[in-house]
Amino acid sequence: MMAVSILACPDCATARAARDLVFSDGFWVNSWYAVLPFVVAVLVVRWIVRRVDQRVDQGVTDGQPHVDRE
Amino acid sequence: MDNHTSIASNEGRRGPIVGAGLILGIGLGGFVDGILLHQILQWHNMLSSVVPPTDLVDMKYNMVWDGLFHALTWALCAIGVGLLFRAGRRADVAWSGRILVGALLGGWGLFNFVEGLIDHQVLGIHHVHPGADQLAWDLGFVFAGGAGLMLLGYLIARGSARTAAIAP
Repeated sequence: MMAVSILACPDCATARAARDLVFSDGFWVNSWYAVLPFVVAVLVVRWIVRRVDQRVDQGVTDGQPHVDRE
Repeated sequence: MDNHTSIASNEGRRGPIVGAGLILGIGLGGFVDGILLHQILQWHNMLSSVVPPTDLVDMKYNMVWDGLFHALTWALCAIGVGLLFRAGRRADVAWSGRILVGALLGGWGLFNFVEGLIDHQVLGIHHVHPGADQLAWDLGFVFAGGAGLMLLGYLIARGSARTAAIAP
């Protein structure tokens, strides 16, 4: 079961090499790559929520002018 | 009674529940991507087109970036739960299961659409299913998994708005 012991090692040569690769020069660029889709998606959500509330404030429901039911 | 008051009291604000649902949908959609495509099917990893996981070191490298990706999706889920809890405490919010389900699906689709465009097409850091038909898989992910889910979510949420508008 040699392969298992290699995979499970938290501080063996393989793990250290992988960690060095992660924290090499490309770390911040890769971090930006990981974060970017989430940032864009959250900005879109913010825009949608503002638009939804704006439509309610304007008295528009689902594209139709709101009619008071009373 | 002016329009503002009548809408707020009869139907309620949708923004808070839509926002919570969309953020939760992004987080849960990210987990579907990470758990299904990265881990179970092992079609790709976060940076598998930059550092292909062909040996143990490169596999571990990609596992770290997959882990950071999952940390972000977890954070969005936590924020989404917080927003949903806050929306639930407000009396002026339309508490609708259809709006929530529609927003969840919309958020999932939004994540797929944005992630598919940025990571697969623009940055090229990974592809859905690398190989001969990788462009077809990528486009399918953006249009079916992205735009399709957003449209489905919109239609479900809109159905709720129509129901509220015609209710006696």
